[in-house]
Amino acid sequence: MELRIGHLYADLMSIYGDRGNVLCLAQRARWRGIACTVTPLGLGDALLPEAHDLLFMGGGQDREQRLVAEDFQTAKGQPLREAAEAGVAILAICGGYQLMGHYYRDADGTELPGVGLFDAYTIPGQGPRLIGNVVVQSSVPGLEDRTLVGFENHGGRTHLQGDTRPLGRVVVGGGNNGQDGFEGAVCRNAFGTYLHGSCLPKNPWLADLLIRRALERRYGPVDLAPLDDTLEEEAHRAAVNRARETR
Amino acid sequence: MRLLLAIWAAKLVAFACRALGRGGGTSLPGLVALRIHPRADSCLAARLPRGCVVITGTNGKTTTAKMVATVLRTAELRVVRNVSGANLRRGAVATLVGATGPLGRLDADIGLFELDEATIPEMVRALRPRIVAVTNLFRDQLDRYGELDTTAKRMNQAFRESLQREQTLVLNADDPLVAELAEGSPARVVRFGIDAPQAAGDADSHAADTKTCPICGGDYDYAARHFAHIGHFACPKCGHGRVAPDVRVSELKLCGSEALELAVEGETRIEVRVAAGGIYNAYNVAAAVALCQALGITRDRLVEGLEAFRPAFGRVESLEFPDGKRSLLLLAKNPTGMNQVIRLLRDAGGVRHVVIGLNDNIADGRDVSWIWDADFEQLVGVPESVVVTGIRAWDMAVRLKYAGFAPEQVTVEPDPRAALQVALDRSAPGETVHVVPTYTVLLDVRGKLEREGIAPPFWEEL
Repeated sequence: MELRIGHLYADLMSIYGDRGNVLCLAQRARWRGIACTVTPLGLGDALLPEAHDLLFMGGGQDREQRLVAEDFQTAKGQPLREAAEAGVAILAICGGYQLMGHYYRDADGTELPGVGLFDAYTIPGQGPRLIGNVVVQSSVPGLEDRTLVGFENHGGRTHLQGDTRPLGRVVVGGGNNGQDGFEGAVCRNAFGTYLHGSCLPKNPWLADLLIRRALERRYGPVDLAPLDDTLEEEAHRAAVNRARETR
Repeated sequence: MRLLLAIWAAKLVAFACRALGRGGGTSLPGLVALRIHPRADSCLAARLPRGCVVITGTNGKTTTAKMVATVLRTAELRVVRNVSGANLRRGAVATLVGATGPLGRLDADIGLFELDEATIPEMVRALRPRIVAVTNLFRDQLDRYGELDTTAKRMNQAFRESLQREQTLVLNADDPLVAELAEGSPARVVRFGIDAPQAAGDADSHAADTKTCPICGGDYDYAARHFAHIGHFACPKCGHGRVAPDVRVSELKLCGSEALELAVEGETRIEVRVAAGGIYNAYNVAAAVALCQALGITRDRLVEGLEAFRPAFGRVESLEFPDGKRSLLLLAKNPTGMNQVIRLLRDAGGVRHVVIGLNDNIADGRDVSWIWDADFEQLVGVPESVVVTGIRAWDMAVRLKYAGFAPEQVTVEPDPRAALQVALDRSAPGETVHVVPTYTVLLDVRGKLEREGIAPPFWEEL
């Protein structure tokens, strides 16, 4: 088996250590004997919907988001929608997540059009930036008994509509908008979240769910061999405790 | 009168802090003074016969400040300077109060303040410094400040609105974000940089925070990349690029992890050997030379002072243990700093046991995501073992696991002093344990070593 990861705007959208998610996915595949390739997809590069099993996009500053939003309009938006439609696994974090909705209006009032994978939109917040450790009770099918941890840092407030479900319910922290108690978005195999940390290394169950869904599209039902996650679980626990102490 | 009251109250608090063994009392007295007299710092700074100098930026503030302080003292000036941990307004005020006698007389010629980037707009107005130097801008504690571009924008606004023609900006010519800070400011600008081919390094571009031209959005091209986004940058689309520096390192030789030999050309050419390793310290030397030149220090005093420099608290600081073992403290608090330390560990040779400490207190930055932007993959195969420590020790253990360390190479010991002991016990006499802590892990482990009589107290170091 082979896991083909496409890393969208790896050099532009990577300000809070989000590349750790790609390192995590690649290692967890390789440790199980699954070959893994990571292809950077920069501004102007063509995106072929069939060429990737999993697409990842991290967060960035407003300046970079503007460049990316333009590239979505002129190049990658349509193939990205086709990939999502075909069931390719997608994970987008923070600034990347915001651009996966219908639009993102930034603090200056500039409205950036999004890809529309999620029935969601993002507008500037009334209050201060939502910054700090986050604990989420997952509502992702198969992970209902799990918590997800990470660190959020965003001014925009994301609101979900229609069929788009949240990743889970906020236990500690702000989440999508600091009001409705939801964090993240899920639509078919596309996942969006505000969790940095990096997110996946401390939530290995979410990493494995993404790997499985990515592979199943091409290979049918997949059983992933269990890994020793003692350190990851300790790191997860430490982050949960820290969230309770600091917010 | 109100100022005197503020001074006395602050002095009383400082005395109480020391008496209670609560460290040097480096910030609380400042808070008290400001509460009584909201412009205590402006009034005190105005009494300094030679004015004051501000050093800011993400990395290198403390080392640059210590270099400048050593030079100024060699030139027989009395310097009042804040300690590195007290780099907000209250710290500066506490420092000024500490140097003031009971009748309000300041026992100093010149003030030297290293200040947090976020305090600059406020402090440029409060202190009216003769010189403001900016070492570099990297992502660090974004959880406190939001985005890096915003920090730069606020600094530029302060330089445009609050600086006058007779004030000087000393800026890193090789950092694209810093180079832009003088835009529209009436202040005189002195730029420093490196023009030595030896400085070129690995392109650790995922630690680079400024990748696109602020004018047209094009990707920068680098004729030479020194580290992260620091180097000889140019935008191929609009032509915007590096301005040739006024003070430049023209020759550079790395001497192990603890020294540099360099030639610096400014108003005159100097050749010096400085007790500070790593390319990043060549920038600190260049910044110190540019600053001292702007202050009118003579060439001989400059060279003498730089050669007398000893590393600052926790910045490649060597500590001797009674059993003949040694530890080297290498503060690393952001991806670029960490990558420089990793490069230093690779170059040093013979590194067997390393301690890496990660805390997430406010002074460290609450967000530990940054460890995923540092190239720990480059550390695999260098030390035999790593002991990870601090509040987020497990996050660091996970980072090392994914970087490719074998499970038996990594030990988790959350208490920093105990972690150091684990590494020391594994070492042979005469060997060095390299300790790489974030800021509050450094304070923790160093505090314990002070009480054991191994490290000198840091507020006496000034």
